[in-house]
Amino acid sequence: MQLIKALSLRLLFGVVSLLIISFVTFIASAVAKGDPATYVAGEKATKEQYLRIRHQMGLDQPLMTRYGIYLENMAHGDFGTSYQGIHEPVADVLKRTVPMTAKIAFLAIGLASFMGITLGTLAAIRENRGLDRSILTVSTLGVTLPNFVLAPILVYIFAVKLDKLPVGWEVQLRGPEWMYLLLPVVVLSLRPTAMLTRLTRASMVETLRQEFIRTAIAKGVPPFRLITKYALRNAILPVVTTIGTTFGFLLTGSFVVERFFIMPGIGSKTIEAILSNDLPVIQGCVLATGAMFIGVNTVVDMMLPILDPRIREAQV
Amino acid sequence: MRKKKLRDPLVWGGIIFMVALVLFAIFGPFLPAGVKEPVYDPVGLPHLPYGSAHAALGTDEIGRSFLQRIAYGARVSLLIGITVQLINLTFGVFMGVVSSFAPKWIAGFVMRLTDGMFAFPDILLAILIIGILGPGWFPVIVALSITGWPSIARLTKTQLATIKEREFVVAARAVGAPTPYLVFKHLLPQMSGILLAVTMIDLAGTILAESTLSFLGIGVQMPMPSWGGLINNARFQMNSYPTEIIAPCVVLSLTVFALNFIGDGLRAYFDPKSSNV
Repeated sequence: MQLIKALSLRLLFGVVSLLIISFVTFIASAVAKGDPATYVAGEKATKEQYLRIRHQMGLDQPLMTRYGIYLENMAHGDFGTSYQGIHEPVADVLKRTVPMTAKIAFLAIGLASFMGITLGTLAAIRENRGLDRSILTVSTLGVTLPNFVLAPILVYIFAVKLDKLPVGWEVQLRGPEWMYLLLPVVVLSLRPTAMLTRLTRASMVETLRQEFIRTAIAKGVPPFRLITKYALRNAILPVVTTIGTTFGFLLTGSFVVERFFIMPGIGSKTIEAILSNDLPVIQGCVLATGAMFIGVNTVVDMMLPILDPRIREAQV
Repeated sequence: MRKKKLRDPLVWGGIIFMVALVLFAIFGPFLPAGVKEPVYDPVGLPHLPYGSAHAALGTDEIGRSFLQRIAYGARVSLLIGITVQLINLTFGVFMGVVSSFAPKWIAGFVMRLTDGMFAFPDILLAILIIGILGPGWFPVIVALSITGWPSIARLTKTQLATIKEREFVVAARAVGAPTPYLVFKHLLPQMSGILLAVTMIDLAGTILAESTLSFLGIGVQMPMPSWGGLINNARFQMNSYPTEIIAPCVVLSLTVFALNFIGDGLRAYFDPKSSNV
């Protein structure tokens, strides 16, 4: 019962965040210069045509009514249409681009979680020895190095000099897909990996000093079981929370990585839309990216009370 | 308490680098210019590789000295970074003070706003703002200022909460010091050190964010050079002119490292209790 209450509380928080982000993107169209009706009506429209279109689009309504219409349209899957090109519906644009971004983001966060927790645990076991020092140094570099510095280095080594991997995405893939995904995912996962490594290390070092670990050692628990079952289980909580927040950094990187590797994802679409002043697409993309961010955070938040009964009780 | 000297070699390394960078930004554009007599390559452009006679790092595709371009980029990146940081500092400290001293309903609103800003990824809001205003250096400053102040506001609030209870503050209030006097004469001077440290770290973040936006092509627009823009420009000719991508990357990374070293060192110096993960 407590669990259900804690979970629904988090779900509610997620929904409220979604509403806030939809309002922010809605406001964008209200403050942006230029009237959407002029874009739709075109340059040759007469005054009456313009006014009719303006009325059809509901632009003569008060702001909050328009927000209501905006939400209602979105509930029907209507995100407006692009100003540019063939006036493609934004929903179609999103359907085309979101899977690509979601794919590299989830692969990257998966890789980062695995690498970060493993490296962090190894570093914590060998605290202050050579291995620990070198893992810490590399992860400090990883936290500070921006993606667009790392990406050219890796591309230069693996794609230009060694000529083993493709430089960027192509419309017609000339090889297995993983070859095209490898460099982007590695670049994208580097920063989260570094952050998770440092966090896991700090959390593990603290846990390993606690008395129940000493008791377990005295009892003769085998080392591997001691680390995975006893220590990691206790040390992992802050790491799980951070996996959620790191997803935000991943989105940041996703813009850069998609742009660098010319991948047809939502990040490069957003930038394209900004460069061509295509407000409905910008709104749709920001909303979709924000929704992904909130979605992942909510899922991670909901996992916490399941993992740790103490949080369950503290919440309710 | 302040007897201890600032000995950390990393901090001094960082400070020396930043001084050198500022000098480079000021005087770099007056270094010997690119090609005197353009040497045309087969494509028809005076595009020199590094180590050429007149330009140590070579020239770009229209014959401008690349070293000079980086110096101009340093001006742009540093000026934008410092401007944004000044705005953030002023606004963040103001909001922090307001949320500590204002009546409850205002303070509550400010705190809710700060928390809300934290829940939203900065880059997304920055991109939306640039999407509204259009690309350029001014929207970059606006976007980074709007997204940057909450961290300073939160820091100010937590710092004030502890300083407020200290004896000298209680004493000052007991003899009737008005709140503005208290804030400007007693509280803010106490936290100036830690604010300086955090500003250095945030400056690194701001320069990085500006470079990211410029790299994406929606920040500072060519012909105004910025490091991010230079990196973006150079990536298409990585094979023939690798230094053009390496040089701005190295300068940018060193700047970010230097500022982080300075910030971390100063924080450890001013606030020894805080440990960093």
